[in-house]
Amino acid sequence: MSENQRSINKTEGGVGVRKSLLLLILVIATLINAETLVIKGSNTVYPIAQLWVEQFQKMYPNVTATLEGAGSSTGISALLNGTCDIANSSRFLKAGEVEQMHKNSRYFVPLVIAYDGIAVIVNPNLGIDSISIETLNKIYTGQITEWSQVDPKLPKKTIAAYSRNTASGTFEVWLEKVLKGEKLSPRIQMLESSQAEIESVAKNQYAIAYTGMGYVTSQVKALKVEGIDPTIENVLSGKYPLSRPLFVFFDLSRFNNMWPENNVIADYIRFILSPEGQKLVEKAGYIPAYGTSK
Amino acid sequence: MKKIGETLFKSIVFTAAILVAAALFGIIFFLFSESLRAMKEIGWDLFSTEWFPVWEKPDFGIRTMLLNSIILTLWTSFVVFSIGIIVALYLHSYANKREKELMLRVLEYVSGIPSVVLGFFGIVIVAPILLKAGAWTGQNFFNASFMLSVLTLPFMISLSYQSLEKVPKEISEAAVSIGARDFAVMIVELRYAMPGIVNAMMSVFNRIFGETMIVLMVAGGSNLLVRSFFDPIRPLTATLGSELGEVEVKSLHYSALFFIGFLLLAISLAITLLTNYIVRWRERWIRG
Repeated sequence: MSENQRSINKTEGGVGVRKSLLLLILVIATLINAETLVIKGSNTVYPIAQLWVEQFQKMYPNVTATLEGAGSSTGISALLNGTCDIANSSRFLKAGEVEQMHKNSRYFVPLVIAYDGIAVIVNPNLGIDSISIETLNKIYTGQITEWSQVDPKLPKKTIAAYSRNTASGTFEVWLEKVLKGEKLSPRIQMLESSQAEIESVAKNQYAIAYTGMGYVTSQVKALKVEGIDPTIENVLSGKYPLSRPLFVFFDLSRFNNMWPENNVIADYIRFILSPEGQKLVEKAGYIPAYGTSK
Repeated sequence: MKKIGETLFKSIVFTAAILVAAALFGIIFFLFSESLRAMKEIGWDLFSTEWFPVWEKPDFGIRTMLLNSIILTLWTSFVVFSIGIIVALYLHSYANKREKELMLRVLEYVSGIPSVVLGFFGIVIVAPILLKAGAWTGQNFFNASFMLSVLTLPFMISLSYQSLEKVPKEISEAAVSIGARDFAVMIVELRYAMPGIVNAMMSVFNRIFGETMIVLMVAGGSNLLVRSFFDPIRPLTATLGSELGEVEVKSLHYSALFFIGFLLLAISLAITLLTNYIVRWRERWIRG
């Protein structure tokens, strides 16, 4: 190797080092500059938020968003502690939480982002169209165990009643609106997923179950509850009794109580309320609160 | 140089062995410490019948689930032990070479099926058949027991068969020479092979007791004490598998779930120790 070549190699090596140094600085710079968005809360909202975050990161590549499903209460207390930017919740703030919020002079903006509508499903061959909440309560607390007790015209067969496991958000609604806090009968069968419920009801003529409206297929029949059809319109108009709004909270006091316009939280809110964001609500099996057409 | 290599190898093996032992004790300690809160706050009510973990006034009673777990395991083990030993005896004493090879090959394949696939099979194929047979629900005690048998029979058969094959020829020939009939010869061989078979029984029992996926999918999920084959049930492992994923960390519910885990481990360890004791005692008794 001649002296010349060696020096060329040296400078090339130098360029390499410089390049990698530059790259390092660039990476650090973007890391410092990159905005983060921490989302925490409800497991019910989680599937929607997952789709949102996925799409949001495609739209804003320099934003690092993290999503954690740990329950509504955890999300709201994290917002109070300032350890998250957005809290997902399947319920509105409790009185105690509102009080605490006031005490700390904070203001959590509640946004209704979707409705969770629950359909009561039976096998299409059973011959029943409508059911009342009272009857559902009796079936799920074990006061009624045969279909003939629901309606004398129905066969004298044991009701195979299915429920989602207690960890699911759908069960929370059931506990609140149908069981009204009463204890579930030990005869009720817990299933791990909505798909398993559909499958079980489709196979068993004397089965009944409940599931998020978005999951209902043609294999099963969704009953009228208190005479009201489980449709998107009836949920949005508030007629259908088995539904609840789902919320997203963010803290306005971080922006001097002014509506934020140019930051990552504002971008996120704008996106989730847009027709595109609302379409993802539908995709996750829930009812969009603001419609999906442009 | 050779010595250094040897010491190095020895120390690596030693550390690995220590690590495994430490991991076991670590797990026991972890389960115990996480379940302490439930034991302190709930106490003996942990063994009441009602399990309502997310209600306003929660109940954390595991008795029904524990009994269901035990009944399911005992019944399924009884079925698997009897069929397993009979099939192993047949393979050992009567089957010709081709039958043996075919059977062992098939068992090998069946034993490789993941439990989640068996659970799926139970929901899609077995449940509708049970419904047609008159059960009020497709996911029930019988379905779970059947799928657990399919899961564990291959182990039972091949382990028992291997123990039978290891019985020295002299033993059976001696029995024949003093005029024993086929049946009596089999008894002699079985007695000789018993330590191996008891070991097989133990691993099958533990496998059934601890299996989660199948019972989660096909046992039915109701907290109902089993009274008939077609009753849906919910064994302990199913509750653990279903609820641990979503529970609030460090809550009372979380601690109660860890208590279930601790109990499962304790029962399983107790059975293993008991079997080891029996096997040793039996060996002495058989071989004089």
